[in-house]
Amino acid sequence: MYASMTVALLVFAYGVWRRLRIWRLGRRQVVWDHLGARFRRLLAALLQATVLRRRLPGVMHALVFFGFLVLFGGTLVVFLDSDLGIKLNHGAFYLGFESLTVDLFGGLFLLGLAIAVYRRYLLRPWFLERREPSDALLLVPLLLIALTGFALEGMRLAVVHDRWGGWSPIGLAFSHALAPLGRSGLRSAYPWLWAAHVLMWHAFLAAIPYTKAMHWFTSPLNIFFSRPVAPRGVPAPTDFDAEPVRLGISAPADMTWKQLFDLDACTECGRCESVCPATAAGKPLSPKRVILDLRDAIRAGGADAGPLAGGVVLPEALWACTTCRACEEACPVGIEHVSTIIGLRQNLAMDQVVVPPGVAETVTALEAREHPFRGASSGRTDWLEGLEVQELDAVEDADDLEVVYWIGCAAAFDERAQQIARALVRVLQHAGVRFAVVASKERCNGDVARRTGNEFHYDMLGNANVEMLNGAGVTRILTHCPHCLQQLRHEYRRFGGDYEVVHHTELVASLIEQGRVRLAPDAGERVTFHDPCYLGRYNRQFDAPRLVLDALKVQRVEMARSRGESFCCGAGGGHAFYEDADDGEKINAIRAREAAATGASTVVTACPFCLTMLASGARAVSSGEQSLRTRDVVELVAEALAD
Amino acid sequence: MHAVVLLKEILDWELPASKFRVDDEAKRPPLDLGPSLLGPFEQNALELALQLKDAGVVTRVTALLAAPGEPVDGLRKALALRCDEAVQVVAEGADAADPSQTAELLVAALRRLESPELVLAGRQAGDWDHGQVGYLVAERLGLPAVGLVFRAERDGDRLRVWRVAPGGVEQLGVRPPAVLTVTSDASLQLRMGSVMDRMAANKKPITRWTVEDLGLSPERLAAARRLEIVRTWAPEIERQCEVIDGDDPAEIVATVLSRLEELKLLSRSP
Ligand code: SF4
Ligand code: SF4
Repeated sequence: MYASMTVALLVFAYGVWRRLRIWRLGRRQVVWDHLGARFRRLLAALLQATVLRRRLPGVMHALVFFGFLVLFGGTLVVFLDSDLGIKLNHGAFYLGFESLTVDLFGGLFLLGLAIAVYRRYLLRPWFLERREPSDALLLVPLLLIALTGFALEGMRLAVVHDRWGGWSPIGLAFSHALAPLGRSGLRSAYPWLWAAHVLMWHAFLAAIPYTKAMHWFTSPLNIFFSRPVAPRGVPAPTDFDAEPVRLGISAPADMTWKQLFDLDACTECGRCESVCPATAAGKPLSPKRVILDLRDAIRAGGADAGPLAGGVVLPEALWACTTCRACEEACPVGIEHVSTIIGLRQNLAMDQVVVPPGVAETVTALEAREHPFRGASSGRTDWLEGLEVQELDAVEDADDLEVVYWIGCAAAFDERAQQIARALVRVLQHAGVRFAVVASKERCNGDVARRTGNEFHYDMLGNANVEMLNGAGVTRILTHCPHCLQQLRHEYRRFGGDYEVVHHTELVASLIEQGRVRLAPDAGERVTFHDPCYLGRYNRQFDAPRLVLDALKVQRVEMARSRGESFCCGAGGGHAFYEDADDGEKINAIRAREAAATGASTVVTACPFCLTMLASGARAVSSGEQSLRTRDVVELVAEALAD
Repeated sequence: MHAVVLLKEILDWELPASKFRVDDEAKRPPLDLGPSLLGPFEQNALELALQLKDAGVVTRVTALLAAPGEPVDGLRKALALRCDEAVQVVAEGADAADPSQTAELLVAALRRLESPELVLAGRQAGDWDHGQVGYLVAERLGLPAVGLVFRAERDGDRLRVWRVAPGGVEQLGVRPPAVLTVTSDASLQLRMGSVMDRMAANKKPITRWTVEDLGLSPERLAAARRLEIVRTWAPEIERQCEVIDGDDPAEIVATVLSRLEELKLLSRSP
């Protein structure tokens, strides 16, 4: 037994070493900051909070997990007791833990496995593709090990007539079932079955690093390693001064070690795919496939696997991603798909120049005019006409201002979005907020360049914006655009931009609370709120827009998917400016239909890009009479201002 | 085959109307109203040259630009897209709006360049829209010219070219050396270069020739002048905006129609 144990451990160690070799190919990534938050997430995961967000698979997982843990503990006690001579197995502990608890949890373990078999082979949800034989190789040995364990306990009880047998109810049931074999039969079978049980366990142990069971170790570690706080979903920066320059991800060594670790943490559960808007719209992208295809290619090819961008993962798949982070939110093991997807895109855009129509033009436009809107007929400040608003340029001391309003390109160049800015200005003026607009000094925040993998252009824009803002002494910024928010609040830190940034929903909510905004709303309209990805999942702001809506006395209803589970409008990741492979339904139409299904007459949002997408989605799904209005939160506030 | 692409940078053609104005003294819009960009048809010509190089028809591409000062962006861009050489004629004392003078400078430079067999120009510069430089260059070099080309292929010792003709497309054969003026086409959208090429382009030299370098005397350049701008002005366009509000599409359409009738812009047949 010791020999087989040693062999098993050696094989296990070799498997782990092989994995380790791949992770070590990766670049540096810091995972030791925010330790408190990391441990909290790990604890929640170990207590099964994440997996339990889905009912049946969650219960299955929890049963198997806790069942296994207790069985393993039971085995450990036997090992300590009989092999190391640390006498634990007696008295109340023996009866309470080693008999009753282990027995019952063994039962739960079996129940969990049964659910897994039922779900995988009978229920078959679409996103749970069966990967034979690896799935069966995981389930069948576990089932056999558990069953032989119970059989052994049953045999022992049947032979020795343990008067405490009642403390092992399931074992006792097995003993009754096995009794017909007779005591001598059982006696001679016992050592064989015991050997089989032990050997199966050792074989299973040895196989762990080579099978999906490896996630028992990699998943909790990955949850700990994945970034617990904003900013998340951000690509690794590119160092353009490095020699040679690494332009995105082409080979495993271009990934960070955490990105490589992600691949081995995947349990193939398919949750990411089941929530992905691109998958739902029939695009050739599945976040799960991205992870698994990379994993398989790198396992097979090691350091030389590749080219990863455009080869292992196809360009059409990479360009279909809206960077909505729904996959990351759903993933129970903390896999961070988005930074990898953008890393791969960086290689397509900056190195291979394989980009869909629209991306090249957008980048050229960004370079020429420092905004992504082509064919814009207005200038950056045209929308200000008739509004008494001062520009930052004209302000003596930026410290006198409560806030500097960053308009963003959408409101500068898109007529629909200009109405958001005008509404916000009205609200600010009503509340007597001391503010100035940046307007003519703004450049595109660079989000569209960055999310389409054009980090080179992003760097230029980001640097120039930070230089301008720092030069003007700006410290507090207001924006109505979640993409500007993400850049100004988080991603500009890299360029030395450290600002206190509020989204307009946050500011308006607090102005209402302070009584500075006085409302005289017409009660009763039925509205639903669409959470923009870059406000919600990226910046965890779900409440402020809802607080504002509630202050407006509207009848607020939620869509089937909202808050952290909100379904993307389809614009993110630069999609507002390019069309990718057009398969299936448009993402915005799916969302608009979901909004219409609430019976709301207006779908409210808090992002100029969501607004455009939802408006065209609403047109696409409207059925004559029932047409869904689309509004930004602040437009409703401006309409309801008292006096 | 060595191809030379004639480039020009012009004032951003998407400059918002609110920003556009004309300098009455200079009789033209000031250049600093907005960014100077490689003109749209020059972009098409450059793309066609690069496609011919990709196809092996052309072995070398030189970008040539005549302008005063240091308008290096267009040439840098050409280098970043893998043009082999970039040449600027430092056109002091010449008027960029005058096709004849521009052609004079370009011809002098073309004569100095190593045996160009194909000269590609945009069909017209997007600022003044004269559309003459390509033909003037061909005439002074004594070369055949084909205008409004959007596609070209090797055809033995000739080039087969596709050009826009009234009501259709014309295919012609032309034996190099020749001049082509290039028009826009979806297939001629200027490509996006790789970042590596772009960074490498920053290190490549740009050849600069002054008017004297080209052996052109100031008198000769002045004599080439043919254009006199009498007056330039932006047309006054008055805009009145009327927003027709409403939630019911049918009602909105009815209001729009009756407003158009009132304004005598539409009449409905009885
Ligand atoms: S970020 Fe959104 S679109 Fe991209 S893979 Fe994840 S779920 Fe799909
Ligand atoms: S990436 Fe996460 S959510 Fe997707 S299949 Fe793997 S473990 Fe499941």
